[in-house]
Amino acid sequence: MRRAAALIALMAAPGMARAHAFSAGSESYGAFLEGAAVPLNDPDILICLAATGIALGIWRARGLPQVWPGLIVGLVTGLVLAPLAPVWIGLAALGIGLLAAVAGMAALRWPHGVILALTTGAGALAGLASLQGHDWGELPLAIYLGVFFGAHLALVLPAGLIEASRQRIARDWVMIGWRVLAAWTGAVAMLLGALSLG
Amino acid sequence: MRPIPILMILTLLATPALAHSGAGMQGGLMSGFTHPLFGWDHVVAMVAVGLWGAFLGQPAIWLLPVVFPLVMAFGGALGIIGVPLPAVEQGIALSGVVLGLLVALAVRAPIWVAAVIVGVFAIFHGHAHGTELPDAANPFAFALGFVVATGLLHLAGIGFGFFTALPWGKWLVRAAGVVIALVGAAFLTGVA
Repeated sequence: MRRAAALIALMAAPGMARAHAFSAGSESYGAFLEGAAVPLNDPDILICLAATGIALGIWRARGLPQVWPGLIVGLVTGLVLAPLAPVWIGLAALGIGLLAAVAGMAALRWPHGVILALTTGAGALAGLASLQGHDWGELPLAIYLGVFFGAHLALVLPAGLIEASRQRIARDWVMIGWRVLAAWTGAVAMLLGALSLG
Repeated sequence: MRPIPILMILTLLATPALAHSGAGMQGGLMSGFTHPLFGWDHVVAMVAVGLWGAFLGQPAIWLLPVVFPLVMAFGGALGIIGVPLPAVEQGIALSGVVLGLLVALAVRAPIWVAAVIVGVFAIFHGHAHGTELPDAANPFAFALGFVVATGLLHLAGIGFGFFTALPWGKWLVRAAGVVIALVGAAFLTGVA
């Protein structure tokens, strides 16, 4: 019972853990870069977004543009609601990264709605995890823009690479290689999650 | 008297051992990468997965190496969070014997049977790695190095398995299966 109570208390105490500290102050470009570095340097967020990008690239040709609005909506929602995020939000992001990795590895004909939900969820969790622990009005707009840019970079880059390889190298082994990468990403997500819990 | 000055020089030249206590990104990456490479029982089983996949042909040649790291990570996660698994070392040694024999006998099992066999053994391998995990390692770097090394061992097996395309290559690969089974048997019986 005590453990459960402690866990509930932990989950109900957002804002305690300052996951990402920012020091650029009012200097806009520095703040933008700091913000952009968050999704690229935090393994939980990076795996969440990169695995989703890989899944989108494998899903179908030109898959990303079909669900891009979902990413934007999810990301903006996550960034706005970040002060409410609990401390375990990074683990949740890792979980959705694992789901995305399995979806990419399986390479099934997933319905549009499933992939849209996955992308929106990944965007939302990335936004929440990036600025978790910071109150509204505490951070300059440049940091929000930086996180938005960095998150896009983490997701769009793998999706774009897969799309390019699909168009330029029409061989079976190319997509198999990307599916292997998805499996490896999922394996890293699983180990990282266990290490966070262990 | 001579050994003493030599010993003193060696002591002065001694560097800290980083093999299993790597700190930071680089240390964690190296620690994770080398972890699956320590122990022949692990290495031969992972190479055998690739070899068997090559024998089974499409789609097993890529399905087995895709399944193994993910299931192995699941086993690793169980080990890290402390879920007990009985007879782990025996299971690992047995995997060498079974997978080696499957390659040696060129068994063409249905794909789901192959996936289940490989998956079950992968849990044992992962669990052993998970419980031996160094505390000091950078978690992300360690996990990355660990998965990449495992995957590269499979790719080595697949690469070697391409010899099956040659007339004499099948016998070469089957002979490798015999060696793998013998290594597994040596660990199973306590010889190694």
